[in-house]
Amino acid sequence: MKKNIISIIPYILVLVWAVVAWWFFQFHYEYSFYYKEQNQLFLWSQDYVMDYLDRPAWAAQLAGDFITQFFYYTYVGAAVFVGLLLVTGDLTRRALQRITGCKWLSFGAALVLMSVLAVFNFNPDYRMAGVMSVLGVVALVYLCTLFLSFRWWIKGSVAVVALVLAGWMFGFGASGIGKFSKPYQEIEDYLAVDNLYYFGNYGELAERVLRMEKVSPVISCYYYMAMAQNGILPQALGNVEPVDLGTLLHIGPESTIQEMKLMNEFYFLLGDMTLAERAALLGCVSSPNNRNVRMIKRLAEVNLVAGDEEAAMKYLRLLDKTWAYRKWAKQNRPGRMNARLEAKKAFACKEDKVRLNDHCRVVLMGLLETNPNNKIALDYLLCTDILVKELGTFYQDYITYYLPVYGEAKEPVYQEMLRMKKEYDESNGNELDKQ
Amino acid sequence: MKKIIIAIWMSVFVLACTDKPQDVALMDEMPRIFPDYVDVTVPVGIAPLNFNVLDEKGKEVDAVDVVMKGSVGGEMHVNGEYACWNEKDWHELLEKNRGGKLKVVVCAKEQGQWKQYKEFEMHVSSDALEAYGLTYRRIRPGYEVYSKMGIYQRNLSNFEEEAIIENSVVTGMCINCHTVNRTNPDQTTFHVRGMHGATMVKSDGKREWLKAQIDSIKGAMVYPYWHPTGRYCAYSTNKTSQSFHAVKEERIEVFDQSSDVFVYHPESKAILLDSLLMTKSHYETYPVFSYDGKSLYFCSSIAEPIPERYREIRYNICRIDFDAEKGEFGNEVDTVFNACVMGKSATHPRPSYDGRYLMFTMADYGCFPIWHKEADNWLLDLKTGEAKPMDVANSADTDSWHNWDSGSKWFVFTSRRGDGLHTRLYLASVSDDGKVTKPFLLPQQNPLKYDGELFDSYNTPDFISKSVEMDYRSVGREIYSDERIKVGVK
Repeated sequence: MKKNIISIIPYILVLVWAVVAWWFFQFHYEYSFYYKEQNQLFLWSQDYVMDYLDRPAWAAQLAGDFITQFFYYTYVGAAVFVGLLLVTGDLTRRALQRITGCKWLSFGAALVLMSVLAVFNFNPDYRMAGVMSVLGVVALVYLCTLFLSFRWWIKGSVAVVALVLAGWMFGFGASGIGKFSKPYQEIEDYLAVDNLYYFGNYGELAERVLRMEKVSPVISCYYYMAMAQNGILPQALGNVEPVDLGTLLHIGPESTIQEMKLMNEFYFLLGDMTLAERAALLGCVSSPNNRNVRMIKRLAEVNLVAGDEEAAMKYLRLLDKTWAYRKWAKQNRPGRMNARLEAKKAFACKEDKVRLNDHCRVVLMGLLETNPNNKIALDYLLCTDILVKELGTFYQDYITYYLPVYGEAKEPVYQEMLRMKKEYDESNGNELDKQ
Repeated sequence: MKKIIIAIWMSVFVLACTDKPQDVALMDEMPRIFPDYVDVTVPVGIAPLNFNVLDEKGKEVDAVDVVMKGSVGGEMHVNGEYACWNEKDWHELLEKNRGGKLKVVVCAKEQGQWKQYKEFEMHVSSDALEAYGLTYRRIRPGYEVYSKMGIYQRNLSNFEEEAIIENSVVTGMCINCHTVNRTNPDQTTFHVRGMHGATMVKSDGKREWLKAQIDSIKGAMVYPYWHPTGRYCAYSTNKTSQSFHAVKEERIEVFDQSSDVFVYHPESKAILLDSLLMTKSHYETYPVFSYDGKSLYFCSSIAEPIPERYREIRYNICRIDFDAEKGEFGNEVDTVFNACVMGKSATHPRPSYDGRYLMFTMADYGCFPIWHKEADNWLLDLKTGEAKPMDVANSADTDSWHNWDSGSKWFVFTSRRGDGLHTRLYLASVSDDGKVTKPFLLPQQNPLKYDGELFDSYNTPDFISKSVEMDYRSVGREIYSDERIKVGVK
């Protein structure tokens, strides 16, 4: 009885390890899996798959990218990742047990390997191709151990073949080597906010940001974009510090990928398709292999809204060949798109104007001149005036863009600014008006 | 290894899936093929013009069965997913039918039904394409972040493409305008932007790296063009800005806030300046030498304030004498083509190497027409002075950046006519009587895959007479070394 209990202890340990790992990656690190999924573009086409043959460790890369595309779905990322680690661990255990005959050593080594791979995955840029390269090599080693009782020349031949395959298909597992680090909690926070915004979960986003002890400028931007989506940007102004609206941010060669993706969402929210497209292209070229399915989808959206059918179809045809986005791509075609995109179309610029750079004030005024009903752009304009403490500019913008469309200000923060303006005028003899 | 696997895979596939036309319905319409190779004129020696066949909805058909017959003789047959010709057979057929026609009959299987479409023709030119291949830059259309980009060479007789230099050699650098001398890559120059910026000039088998910024002109060497003797290279120096349109039609506007033209003399490592090419009242740019080297063409616009009057920036094509023996310019500037009076802007002049034509790009305004949908290529007959748009080669979208082959019969240009977003390379010819032929997309192994999955834009294409040999590792080391030659003034 006691012997039986002892014999199942290793299995219980592995089970506990798997549950803890899954729980951590599912509930504390789930957004890193969306990030991995978005940072590639896997196409279901024969030619595309054949192209993998040109890459080093092609089988690992192909299998890794194939699996990663399913991380789009909730609960799949952590479950599949832990499943792969369990398979890797089990093959390691079996191979070592056949070689050494020592069960405890085999289980111990397998647990160490699984743990190391799990730690490597703390880095959001660690790819599933890495896990697959290790799994592939371990599988080949295990296959070799099945021939341990054969004659020497058979064992030798199998070993040589396995060695060649391990190099050709899996790069000897080298791409599985990652960095030891603690979980990147700040990046996970950013990815969570970025994805909650992307999936339209604005309430959950706000709750999460308000719970954070420290908020980065990029996360602050996402928070206020979510508030703008809910139509309460002025009311929410100051809820999260630092207040960063994105209106003072410029992107260029020095920008981070986070900033590029943020500005892509920001300009899409405002309705400036040219600048949203530019940021999406920049976001795309900054991704591994210059492919990012989320940016490709955004490029399709931008061109659908802008009415550039040929460009939109180029991206839609690519999405047609994906697993997770094909349904969306079929449903959104030129002349037939969802209500969200149709609404954007109404706000798209119709009059051309050239902007020397992405100076947001110019962008916002251009959008408002074309579409005075673009309330999101108006709120961003007025809130930026408040943010930079430009009372006179705020008043001018209020008179020019707010009053003719919405009448007297209803938002408390705008009313407060107007009260301050009035007080200032009374004490300074209407100097601001004269200016 | 890839080729072996593909061969095995294809053999199995062909044996298992060969689909012969049965119960064929005759259609009274032309096949929808991609790229549009109907009635194009091709040179002998060009890579096979593979094509895909599309159904009414624009989707690729299930299978094709295509027969190509030469008017002089010879025949080819292909059956598969798309028309993919055997390279050897293709070249033999073209050689046999030089000056003749190729008649193509397409059968396509659409939703289980075989359909035979009306026959179409391709023309085999009797004019030889005097080039080994092409060089070009491939870049994602997200200009500020250079990501993976580089200069590549493509063998025109097959589908082989090879990187000459990529920016992975030096992180964050951008490589500009690779220019060879009259298609000869032994003499070449390009500019590198970024932290390790420089202008590379290769002459007599030796590479020299010039300082990126030249003190005397307070700028970099931007758009180059070699003197036919190779003793000089003309450059412009441009203070370039990028801005963004509010609507989709043009997207991006690139303009110069100042620009001048000068000539570099590699032997003395000095530049030749002339006040007529560096006026404050005008922007001078895109210098090119005439076929005999006795003239320097360039574009010139009144220096309107930017960005307020950016739509009023219009360039004429001008000319100034150049004495290569003395290294001196003439005393006056002639206007060769006055685009301003037409309310247009003429840029990117490229003289044919036989001195007959000057090809340029015409747009409504500005110096950088690559995002201008109205941009078309024009041909100026230098004998008659007559200029006209090359309607047959132009499209409703942007057509720009062009260069001649060394025989001056063929030209390559970029066009955004495909998806409106990415530029692709097209080739066409000009006959002795100035007749331009319908252009064809640079042949690709599987054109639909190439067009759909390649996100790069092509620019600055040029012909090369032979393969470019460049050891990119040593080039990378030289770029990193920051050892630069200071350029003087002659």
